[in-house]
Amino acid sequence: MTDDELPTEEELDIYQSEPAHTLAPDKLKTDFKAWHHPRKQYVRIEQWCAEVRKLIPALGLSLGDPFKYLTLPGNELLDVRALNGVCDRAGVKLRYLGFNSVGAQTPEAVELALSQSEVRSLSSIDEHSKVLDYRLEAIANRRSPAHEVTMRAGPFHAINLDLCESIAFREIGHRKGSSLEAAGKLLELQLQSAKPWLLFITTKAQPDLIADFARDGFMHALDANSRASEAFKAKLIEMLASKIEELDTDIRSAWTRQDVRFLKLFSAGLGKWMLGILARASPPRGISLLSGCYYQSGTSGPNMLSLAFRCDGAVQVLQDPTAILPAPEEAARATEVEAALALADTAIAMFDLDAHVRQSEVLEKLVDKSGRLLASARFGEDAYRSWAYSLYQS
Amino acid sequence: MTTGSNSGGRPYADGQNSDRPGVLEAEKRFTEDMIKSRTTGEPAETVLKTDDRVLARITDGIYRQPSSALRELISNAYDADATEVFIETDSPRYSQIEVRDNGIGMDEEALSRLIHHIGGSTKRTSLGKDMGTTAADNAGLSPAGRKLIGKIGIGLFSVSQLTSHFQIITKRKGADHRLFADVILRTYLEDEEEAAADRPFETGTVRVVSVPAEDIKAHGTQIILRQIHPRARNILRSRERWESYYEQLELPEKDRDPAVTAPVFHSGNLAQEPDPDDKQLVFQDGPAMPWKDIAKPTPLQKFEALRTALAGQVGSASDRPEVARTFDNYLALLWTLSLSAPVPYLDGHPFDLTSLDDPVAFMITNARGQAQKLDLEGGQKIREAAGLTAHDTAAGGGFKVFVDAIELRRPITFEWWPSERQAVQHPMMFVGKYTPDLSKVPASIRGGELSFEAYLFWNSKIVPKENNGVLVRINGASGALFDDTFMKYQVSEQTRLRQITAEIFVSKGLDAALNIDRESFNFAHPHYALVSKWLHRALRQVANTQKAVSGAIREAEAEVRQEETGARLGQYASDAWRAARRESTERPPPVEMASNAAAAAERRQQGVIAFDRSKLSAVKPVAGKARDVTEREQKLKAIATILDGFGIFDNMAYEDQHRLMNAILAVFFDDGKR
Repeated sequence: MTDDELPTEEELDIYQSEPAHTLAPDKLKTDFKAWHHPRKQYVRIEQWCAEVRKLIPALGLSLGDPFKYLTLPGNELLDVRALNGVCDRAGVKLRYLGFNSVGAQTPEAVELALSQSEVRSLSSIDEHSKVLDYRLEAIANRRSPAHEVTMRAGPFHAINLDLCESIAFREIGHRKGSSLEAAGKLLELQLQSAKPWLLFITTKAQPDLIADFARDGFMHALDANSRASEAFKAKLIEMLASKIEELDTDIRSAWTRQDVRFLKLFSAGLGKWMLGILARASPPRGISLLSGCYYQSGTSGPNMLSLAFRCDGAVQVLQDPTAILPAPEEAARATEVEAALALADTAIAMFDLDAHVRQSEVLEKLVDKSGRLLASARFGEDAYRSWAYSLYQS
Repeated sequence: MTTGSNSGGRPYADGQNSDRPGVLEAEKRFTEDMIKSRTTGEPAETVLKTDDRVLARITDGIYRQPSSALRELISNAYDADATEVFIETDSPRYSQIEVRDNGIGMDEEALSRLIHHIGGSTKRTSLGKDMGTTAADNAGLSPAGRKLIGKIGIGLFSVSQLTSHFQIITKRKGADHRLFADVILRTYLEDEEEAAADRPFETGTVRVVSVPAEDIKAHGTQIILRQIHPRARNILRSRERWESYYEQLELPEKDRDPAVTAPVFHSGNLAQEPDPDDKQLVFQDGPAMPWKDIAKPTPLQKFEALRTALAGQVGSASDRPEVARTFDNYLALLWTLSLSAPVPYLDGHPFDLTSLDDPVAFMITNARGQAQKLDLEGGQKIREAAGLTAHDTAAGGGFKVFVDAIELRRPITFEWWPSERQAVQHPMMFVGKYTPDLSKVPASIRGGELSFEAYLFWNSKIVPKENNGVLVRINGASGALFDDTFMKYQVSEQTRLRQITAEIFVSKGLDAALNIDRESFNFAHPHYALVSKWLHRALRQVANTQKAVSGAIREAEAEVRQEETGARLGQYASDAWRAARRESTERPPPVEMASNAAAAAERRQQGVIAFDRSKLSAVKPVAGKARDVTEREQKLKAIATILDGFGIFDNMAYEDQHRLMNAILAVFFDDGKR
């Protein structure tokens, strides 16, 4: 057979693989996953919902303007279901743009379709909400449709990067895309907004899952600050329970050991990296870490972070080069160094979410709420309760 | 494609459900299986079959454009009393399309009915009342009182043109569960093996599960078209057009075909190859949407921008911009859907125009001759003056359609396109209605009653070109686009026909004349013949009226011009008179035309130069018009003034003065040649 006789790829394009029935989900699902853990409900309520509730009045949304939310909602849209209540009480509609590369011919696609059908019947979900069948990392490519859609839909009032992996794992320009690069694109987009906005980051944080470039970058961001400010250096000493003469050594070793000091350093480094970018924007912005906590998803100690950031436009100070007007008071100048001090304070105050949830009255409340939320996504509520309590029996 | 183990959707005599005549055994069983799924969670399954291969074959290929399927799904949503429909594509990939409505939704019985009768439906039958898909007292109406637009119920059928795999999520208000159906269709290929097999042809399989729902009040239907066929996907991506455009770019400029252009506005052109670095689908040309310069456009502003984009082509690209040339296939699809869907007009219904709007209104009579002018009193609408009832507000809360957050509206507007070429400087709106008395026609051949209202809108030009012609709406919806032959109007009126947009709003009849694709008509149907006959008569009235109005305007304009000419001549003659006389104490005498000798004599005594009209044969030419007489009189007066200035008349007998003037005028107007 010669080449001429072979059908070209284009000709075969006429045919399509035969479709197969994609199994619909069980009647009441009982296969609970990590994100069904009651501690995740704490994050939903105390970080996501609480911060969105506080932000909405500050936005001054006009009538009919939706609350714009970029998210990685999974197949169950649990965050969207939770935020619906907040938006309902605030009298605004939630317009979500989700990323979930679920694949058309999968049971997951069915689950996602059913979830969207349910979510749209909620009181405060905007009809033009949608989930794109793309990975978030796709937006890092300027020529990609995902980038185009996101730029057109934004800027957002809240961005929720609820990752299972480490945000700092893959190199910039990696074939599979990099979360950090995607986050950079989102920061660029958000500079178009003059309003405050929220950034929620859930990420795995392990010394072995942080690429060299990211660690070096985070370290550099912290170093620059500690060189510029003795106060910041003192915060780092406090964060690492170190001494001034041992600080450099302790910082280096902290990046290599899976413990709480690493988690705090990681959080402060990530925050300081973003602060550096935003503070150099025109006009400059500030970013603050509102709250942070950590928990354990593996076997070797806490390795997950849940962080809530808020980005605000810094107060603009009038500078008169001819000094006809008096010089502004020093207090009015919000500097990058001061913002970094606040970041460090919150990083130091981060707490162990697992320990918090283990308190029986907290756990009971969270299991109840989580169970209700999951029931709305067709999970068995009773089965959930047994599963959730079994997590804390040992 | 119909289903169950029977032919053409007709139930076997022994397979009928005793409870409800017309319900197939397979259909009933499937309903029961679905109801069981509420408690067991087990999927209910059914195989769709037909032993009518002709039907399988016909129905697989009747739709040509992706818009057909979406149009049918919109119709279904309308018939289900939805107030909003959301169509979402994954533009620019076009591998999945979702159509979601807030209509009444389906229970197990209605879903089973739909699935077993993809090709026939409960609409307009008494069964529809039992199943809640039609009004309790009228099978031709939806529960909210809309006139049903999907008659043959082929809505889902048309989907096979886009995909072989689709899913339905549906819920009725009050139900504590949703139904999820996974449908896989088989294309009828009629290969040798299939043709030889002596068994019913399996047209597809359906699997349905019932899933619990907490949102008891929620209702509606969502249809997700998965894995759009490559052919349809490439149409939506405008792939052929982009390919030939880039092929042309490879050629030397002189060899390029000027007809091959890239769309001016488009949803983006995807590169053939993914990005080599991250294997992502990427744009070769990023999207250029008409609303790209609007900050935070609303869904309606986007659609307005679509319309403005076409209008903006006039003057810069073409005098008759075309949707097909200006837009890519995706944007053109929005246009096509907006024409066919029963949505409101962009700027209001034509019957709601008043004297404050550009068009002047006329009523088409059901007799020969000209249309009658409609005098609209302050603020009065055409519909009130003409007694018309067609409107664009759907019963049960209105009807809106959004495609990718763009709100569709009927893209037909009635503002004037200024044109120096036209005598008439305003558009003309001709409206009419017709309900023929068919009582003398035997019921067996009558085809039922027929009743419609219509308008024919004349403008200096119709933008876009695709809006030129006649579009027939049955109960508000249309499958066909504008027919620019005006139902094969044979009179050569090419210029005027290109200036007309017409719509016919049928409220009774005609839908039996629609072919199965709902995109064309059966010309042999008596209703179609009646409608086309009415339209052709209306077109003649439009032509006659428009000609008459233009003629009157041209006449009036000519009169004004003649007065100006007269005044100019008079001024010249006076100046010439003064130059000849060089006498500052005198002024040129008036020149007058008297009706008889006595009147002329009396005027002469007053110092006026007067002529007896009856003796001036040259002033009134044979077969001349009033305007010709005026022109000759103007010239005569000017000549007489000048002759008087030179003293020619001083010693000339009145009789000779008349003869001289006749002779001069005859030379002037070359009367000798007649």
